[in-house]
Amino acid sequence: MSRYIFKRLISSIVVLFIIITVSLWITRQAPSNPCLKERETNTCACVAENKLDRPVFPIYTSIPLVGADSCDLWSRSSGGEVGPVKILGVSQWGETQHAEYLKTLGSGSLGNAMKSDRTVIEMLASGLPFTLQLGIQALIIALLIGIPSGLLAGLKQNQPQDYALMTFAMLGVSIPNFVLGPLLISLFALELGWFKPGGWSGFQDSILPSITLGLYYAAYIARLTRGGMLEIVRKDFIRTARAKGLTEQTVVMRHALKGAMLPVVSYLGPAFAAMLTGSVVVEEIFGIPGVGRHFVLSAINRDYNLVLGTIIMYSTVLVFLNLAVDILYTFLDPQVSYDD
Amino acid sequence: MRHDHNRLLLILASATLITSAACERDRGTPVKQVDLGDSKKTKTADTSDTQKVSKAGCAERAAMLEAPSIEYGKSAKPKDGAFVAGANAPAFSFALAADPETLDPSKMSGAPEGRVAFNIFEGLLMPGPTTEGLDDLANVVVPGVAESYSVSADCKTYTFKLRADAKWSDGADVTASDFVYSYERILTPGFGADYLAMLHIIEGAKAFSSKETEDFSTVGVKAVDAKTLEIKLLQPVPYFPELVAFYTFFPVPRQAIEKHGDSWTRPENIVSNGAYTLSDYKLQQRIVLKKNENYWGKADVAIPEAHLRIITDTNAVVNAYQAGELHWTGTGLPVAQLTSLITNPDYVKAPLIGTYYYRFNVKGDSPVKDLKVRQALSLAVDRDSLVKITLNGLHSVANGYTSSAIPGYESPTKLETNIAKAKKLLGEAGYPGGEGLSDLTLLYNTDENHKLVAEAIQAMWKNNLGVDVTLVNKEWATYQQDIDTLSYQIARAGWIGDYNDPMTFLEMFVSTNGNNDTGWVSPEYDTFISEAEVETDRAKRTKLLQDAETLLIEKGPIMPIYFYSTSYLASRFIEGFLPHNRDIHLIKYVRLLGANAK
Repeated sequence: MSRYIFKRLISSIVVLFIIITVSLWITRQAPSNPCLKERETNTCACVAENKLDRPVFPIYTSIPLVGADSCDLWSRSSGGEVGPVKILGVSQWGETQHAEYLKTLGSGSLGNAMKSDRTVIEMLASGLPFTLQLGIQALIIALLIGIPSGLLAGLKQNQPQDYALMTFAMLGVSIPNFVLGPLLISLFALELGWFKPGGWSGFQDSILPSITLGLYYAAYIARLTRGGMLEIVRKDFIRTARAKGLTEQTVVMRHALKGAMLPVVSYLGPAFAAMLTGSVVVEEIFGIPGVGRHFVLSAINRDYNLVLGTIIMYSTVLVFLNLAVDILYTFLDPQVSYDD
Repeated sequence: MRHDHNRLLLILASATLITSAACERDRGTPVKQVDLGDSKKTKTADTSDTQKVSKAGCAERAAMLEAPSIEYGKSAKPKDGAFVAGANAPAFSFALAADPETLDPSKMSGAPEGRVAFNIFEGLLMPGPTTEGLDDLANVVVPGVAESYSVSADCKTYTFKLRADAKWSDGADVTASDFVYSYERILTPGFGADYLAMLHIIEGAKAFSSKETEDFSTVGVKAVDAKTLEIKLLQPVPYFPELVAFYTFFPVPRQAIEKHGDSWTRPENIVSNGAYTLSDYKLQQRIVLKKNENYWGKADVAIPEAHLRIITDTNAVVNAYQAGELHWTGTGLPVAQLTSLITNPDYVKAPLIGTYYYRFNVKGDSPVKDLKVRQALSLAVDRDSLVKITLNGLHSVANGYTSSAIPGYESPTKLETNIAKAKKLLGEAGYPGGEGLSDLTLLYNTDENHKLVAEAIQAMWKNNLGVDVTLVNKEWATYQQDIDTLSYQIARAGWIGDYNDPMTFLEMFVSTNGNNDTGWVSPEYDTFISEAEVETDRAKRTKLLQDAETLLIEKGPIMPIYFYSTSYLASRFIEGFLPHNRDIHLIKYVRLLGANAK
């Protein structure tokens, strides 16, 4: 098992390296750059400060820096040239934007945010607790609502309870959170005055956003649980258990539940990651100071360092959640084993 | 998310801030000492002189500066049961549309940044409480760190007398060398000041910042003594007092910067000299300002604490306002909710010095290169119905390019709607009935409001001229790149003036100006502007600017559509909160009333 985990960790680092390299390239390929502003401003200092005039990779294809044509740019001494592609000399390989970024990473930093006087780590660290709390609470709500109603619906297949629950689940999946959020605000905050319409100063303020975010997943989990349940209760070992004369409760809780949970568990990893990344809209509606907003704003602002920082954070979370789910599998399904 | 960027990026910056003056030839008093703090006294003691010079040059115009005078205690107290904005807020509160990119006034360039900087820092002069009812431009600024200043006969040298009791929040004196230090810091090559170019109006500044010299003593900024600062300009600049009241010209605390480096703007490190100090800042949540106990004017500062809530979504801002958490919305209002908000008794609409217009790329080989096509397109737009119906009366119809909200300048042009004439011009240009004009594109950046306007104008061109235009909508950064590289045919644009002078609108269409962005080159226009820059007679200068504007409207690359207004909700039960045409509001002028006072 520990060998398996070790192997997975190594491959995760390779995956992260590839993600960083590709993302760095993509951010530089996007039109415009972080130094271009609406009005003529001091573009040159910004370009120099962020070393944007350096080539992105050793094999250099020119990326025009709009707005910086009058700047005194970093001079690229000649390397080899293959058609339109310039290849930098060996001594300059450490001076590309990619190498600079890896150097920054190596020193345990994610660089400075380009549209803020904070570092990327500071910005992410200030937002992550809120996003995590929101995600975890939403997940708890999703599980608490989703699993029992899915089980019930599965057991009472094609009975009124099933239809009622699945209608609600269908509604939950169909109502987008940018509709549900404002509805909850206008009812519970503006009309009834039970909650504040936005901001985050304590647990009270996290209730409405957690419900908004969690309800979709609750509905989805209910549907998954129901499906899993329907499949399991037809299995032979359930029939055997019933034939042994076990009570319905024991059959469901001890035998059926584990199997019925498998699709839900494999969904949990991506679902939690999606709650973290998907909280962007909820954070915006409720004015929550989380990291979701950096995800969108950094891309709009072309804040290269913050874009890469959020990507690294999210991909790390995703990689490790997937690993955790795979390990959890061995406990739920005896057929799965990672030992050689 | 940033919606209306031209509003967010309000404020200054011009690549070529070399401008003119309203300096009349010497009238016998080469240097006139102006007492800003006590101008009333000056006036009564010196009536004949004041009257004699009231129409006159730079030094004399400054004589009409007054300390801010707001009448407090006149407003109605809230009735029982009435909605009181901010009633549930722990302190005076308003929203910021985004986290400030920086709190260093020397580096910053945006509107949220300015909201903070104007309250925690103080320049030699400061923006007054309002621009309403001002007929003289001199009154847009009031005394700040400087208690008086004098201007040389050629209008190029300003000598500021700093008040003895101006102090930093750590108790140190604010001295003339603090200003010299700040300006040297901005001009140091490689320093990332967005508005570096603003300081280039100072003699020798450009040479220093472009590394032509390393000797800062060649730059026209000098600390004569601890409390006297002398600034020499390249040209007489009539609006220089307003520039000095802008945050790029504010002093920064040498003692804190040398001690803490880049992190000097953190709440635990910051030292400032304004009416407030930065007490706390939580990213994406709130900035808390506390009254500065070392501020020279603290006796007149009524509000002890202010909360600047960072709320990016305008709907969330309105929600917070309706829940009584804000005294003032502070940011733009959501367009979709506007019809219902207009009836709110707290709704305020005030003019801004800004113009919304379409620009034409005259450098490419598109049909809009032809002046007749541009004229036809402009004549076919019914601005009245656009503003009244499409925009719910949110803004006002533009009759020219220079905003009508600038006091003391009358735009000479009158934009009209004349479909018959438009059709005729289009025929003359070789496109009768719009035939052959099919591949026109209109670029705008993604935004609900820009989309509404573009669709309305698209329909007008189709119905009135038979011209089909394709709307192209791009996100902000890509849109900017297309504008900068002239990769468009027709594009939406907005300009918010940097100071109360037509030059802020007109100089950008000089052929060498970095904000021209249309490819339009007119030697005649350039001559009007450069003559206005050196013209010392005010009437003649105005005439030159008017001629330039007429030329710009008749032959130029733009089609003005409307003049911006700002709309916000602000409690009726606060005083001293008055409309300002650059949307600058200082908390030190504000007082809370009745249930609001805490």
